Amino acid sequence: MTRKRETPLWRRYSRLWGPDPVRDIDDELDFHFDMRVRDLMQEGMSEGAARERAAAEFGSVTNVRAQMTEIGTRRVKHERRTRSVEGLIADMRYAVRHFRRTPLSTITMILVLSLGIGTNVVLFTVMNSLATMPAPGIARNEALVRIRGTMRLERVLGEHRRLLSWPEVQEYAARTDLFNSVGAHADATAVIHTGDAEAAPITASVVYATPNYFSILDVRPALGNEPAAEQNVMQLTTSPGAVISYAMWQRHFGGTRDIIGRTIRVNDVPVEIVGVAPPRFIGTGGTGAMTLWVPLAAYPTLEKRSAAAFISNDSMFLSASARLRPGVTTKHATPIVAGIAQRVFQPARSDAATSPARGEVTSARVETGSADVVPMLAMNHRVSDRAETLISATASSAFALLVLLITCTNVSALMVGLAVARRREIGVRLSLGAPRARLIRQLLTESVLLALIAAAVGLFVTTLGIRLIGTALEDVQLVIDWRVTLATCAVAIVTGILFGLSPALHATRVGVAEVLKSSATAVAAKRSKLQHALVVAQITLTQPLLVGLGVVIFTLITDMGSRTTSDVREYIAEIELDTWAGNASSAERAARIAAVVERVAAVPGVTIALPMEMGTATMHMTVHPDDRVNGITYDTDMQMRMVAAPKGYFDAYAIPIVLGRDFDTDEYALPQETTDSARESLGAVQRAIASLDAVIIGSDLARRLWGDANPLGRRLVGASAAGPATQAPPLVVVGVVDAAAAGPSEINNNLIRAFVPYATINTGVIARTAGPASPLLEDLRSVVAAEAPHMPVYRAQTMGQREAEFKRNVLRASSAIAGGGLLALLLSAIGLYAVVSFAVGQRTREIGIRTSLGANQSQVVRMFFLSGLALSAFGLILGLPLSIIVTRIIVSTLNWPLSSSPLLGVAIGLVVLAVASLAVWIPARRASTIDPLVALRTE
Amino acid sequence: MPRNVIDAVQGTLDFLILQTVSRGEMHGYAIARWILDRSRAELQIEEGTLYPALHRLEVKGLLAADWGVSETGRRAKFYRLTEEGRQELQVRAANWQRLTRAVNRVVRAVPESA
Repeated sequence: MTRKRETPLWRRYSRLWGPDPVRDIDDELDFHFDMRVRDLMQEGMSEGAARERAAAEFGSVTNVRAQMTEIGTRRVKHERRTRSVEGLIADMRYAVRHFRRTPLSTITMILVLSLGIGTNVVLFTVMNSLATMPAPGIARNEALVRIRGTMRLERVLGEHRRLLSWPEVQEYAARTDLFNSVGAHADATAVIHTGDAEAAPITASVVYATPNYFSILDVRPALGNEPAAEQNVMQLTTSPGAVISYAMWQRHFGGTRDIIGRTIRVNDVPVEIVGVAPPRFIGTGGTGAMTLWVPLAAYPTLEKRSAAAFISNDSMFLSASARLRPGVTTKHATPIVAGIAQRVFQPARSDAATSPARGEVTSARVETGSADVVPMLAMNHRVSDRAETLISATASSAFALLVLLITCTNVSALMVGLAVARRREIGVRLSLGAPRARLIRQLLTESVLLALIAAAVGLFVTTLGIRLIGTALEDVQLVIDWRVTLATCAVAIVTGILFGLSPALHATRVGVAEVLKSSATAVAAKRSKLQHALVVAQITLTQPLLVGLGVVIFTLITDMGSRTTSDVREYIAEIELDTWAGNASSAERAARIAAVVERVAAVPGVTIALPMEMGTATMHMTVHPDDRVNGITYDTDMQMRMVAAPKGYFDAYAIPIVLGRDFDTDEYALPQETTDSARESLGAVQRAIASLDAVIIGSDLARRLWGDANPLGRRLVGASAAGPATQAPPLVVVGVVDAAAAGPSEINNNLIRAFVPYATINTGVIARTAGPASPLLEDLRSVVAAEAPHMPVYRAQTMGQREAEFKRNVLRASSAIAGGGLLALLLSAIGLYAVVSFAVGQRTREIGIRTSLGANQSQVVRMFFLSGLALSAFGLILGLPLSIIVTRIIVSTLNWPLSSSPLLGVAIGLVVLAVASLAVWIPARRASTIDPLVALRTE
Repeated sequence: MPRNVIDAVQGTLDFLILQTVSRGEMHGYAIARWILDRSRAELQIEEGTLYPALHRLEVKGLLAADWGVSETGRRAKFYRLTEEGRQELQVRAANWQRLTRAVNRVVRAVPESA
């Protein structure tokens, strides 16, 4: 009897996995058929006849089955959908209920995860914005492109940026088959007089642009109009008009509406303001917020160059932006543009002259020139090396992934630890008949939900961050668009599944076959090794970051102590000028500074006025072999900073001369060559110093070099690889000053300081005042501004203010590091906690055996506590070299007493250890609470 | 044996099934048998119509089905009325009563007027 059969055993099991509509229909129809046969047989028919009859009655089985199958499949699909949605909702509800029951660990996990995912959100945002966004104020548009000049240099890898010449730009503009319009602009820096007699001149970027510049970028002035179009760049027909940036309008013109029509002076040429650019718009990138736009035709007048700059192919000073014709892509346009560039560009005549705007000297010869067409993005105005971009992108993604990995392992281990606590609950659910798959799905729902919440937190915080500081980023606009959101959600889901899978498998492994158990233990062992490595790595990195925290605290404490010093710092006013503004020669600049110093000296309340040196030169020196004394070892190469001490310097800074004399009038005289040198390059500075003959040193150096012997008259000579350069004129020590007296602070303590009579380049004025200097600052500023209207005042503050500001900046940077340090400490603590709870959970059985064999509770706790502590100690030792490096850097930048840094190191080590102990102790103690009977039963 | 075929009109069949199942849980064969027996073999329900109808009613939610063991010890699908089905049955029963009454009145009226 083939028809009459029992449902096969395997199919009974398969039913556990859900209904099988086709099989059910067969079974149902078979049953009907068999019943009919049975009834017919009872009526007295033979089986064969009964079957025939039943089959005839039934008609076309296939037809019926097809109809029913269709109905059935439709129903099952529908049911499955409702059930999975209902299941998901139930899982979520359960997850939320669970979270609410354990708020502390839930919040911890969300915070840790949002850190990991948040790092990725920031990375995505930045990468996405850099890859897709043009400079602020410009809308995304595929047709908007840059035409960039490129060149290859002899013996230098990669492509470099090259500006374009006007004939070259016109060649591109002629390709109307590629471009709808091509605009060009030249970037420069100029001195602006706002027209307000009170206000000091400012330095700003000037963009000289062709008339189509704004229409290509699709930017309309927020106020007023664009400058009148000058069709011929060779000829300025009217007086030039300017559009100023919104920030300039706000900051220097008070944002008043009657700004339009006002005349300002740009490099001393009157320019009428005709418009204000929309907020945030600062051009195509590469310039600052203080920008104004004037017609390209005004370039020769304002920059004091000949209009012939527009004729030669060699005169490259332009950047080009363009709109592609519809249907043309950058890929299509680039080879054509490159072909034009290669024809126009003649490298033979143009080494060292490719970037006149910056005055850079290119030592390598230019080999070939080309050009490309790229989308208009904020950051691609430079031609950067592709490899370089790739490396930085890889590095930042690697960092973000590392943070994600660390946070994930921490959370994962934390969940495993928590799962131990949930074992009972899970056991109950399993014994009530919940299938394992269902429970795993439940736990995965929890972890994915956690990750998604963390992703939302990360997105929210990043959005908030962009709101708060996004406008402060002048060069880029950051956006969180659908791409970022999508990528974040994807990362969150993958993260949730990854960090949730192992705890879920682990937690639901209650009472499954031995095979499964042993293989899972092996996996767990491998995992715990990875966890250990990550925890050690975290602690290793925590320590150097905490040094930053230590610095902040230490500096705050010492600052509070030294609040009331009345030393020389408050009696020194420093006024620094932007001497490079405008196109003055170095001789002109030197003369202007000299005039300013003279004028400041005459201000009532000022006792001494000195020129301010622009940076100091470092030289390699050694003691002349004839002037050495016995018993002292001499460095063959001392790095010495040659600080300019012009007339009155030592008096101004109240540095007493303890031996010998100050420089005399002859020595103060500047060598003629220096002021006349057309180029103020490093070479010129060193030549100038080489021509010096007198030097004053500190008492500490005198003691170090000559002990108790008289240092006066002894000589220092240049150090070279071949030994002391005795042929060159030496520096003769004419005086010794008290090294303990406060001079201007040093950036780097490791350099030896020596004083020479004059500086090669001066950039401002220093005034010693009779009373505190700060009330005089405004007077001094206006005096200087009146004396040197062409050099905007860059800063005017007391020496104390400058040092405080420097300290504040360092402190701010350290605070960021300190925040990172605290975070790292928290992460490591969580990692440790998780690792130990994981170990406790794993070794429940072992604990049970130990306790039942007579180990007491404190022994068990000690076992876990010590192994956790060993991990942290290991991490601390690994982090030691890093911490030492960080401390060195801080010591040299902050003028820190070196003696206190080992103390700091020890203190930080103790803090880390204390936190680690706490993180280890809490879960370790839990091990002792395990009842041996229960423990032995669990696995 | 010639088949007595009064093809149940669509809708009438559903009504008959609902009415039958309202007695309690039944499998498909029993439903067919019961209708055949009650109608004194006047209403033979073809299997080709019965099972699709049962499944349709199940999808509509008027019937619910479970697998159980038949009186002969075989695995069989048992149908029962849902609450929705019970309400539907009441409506249909009322409609049917009205219809038959109306039809009967018409049928009875014809010989009198003739």
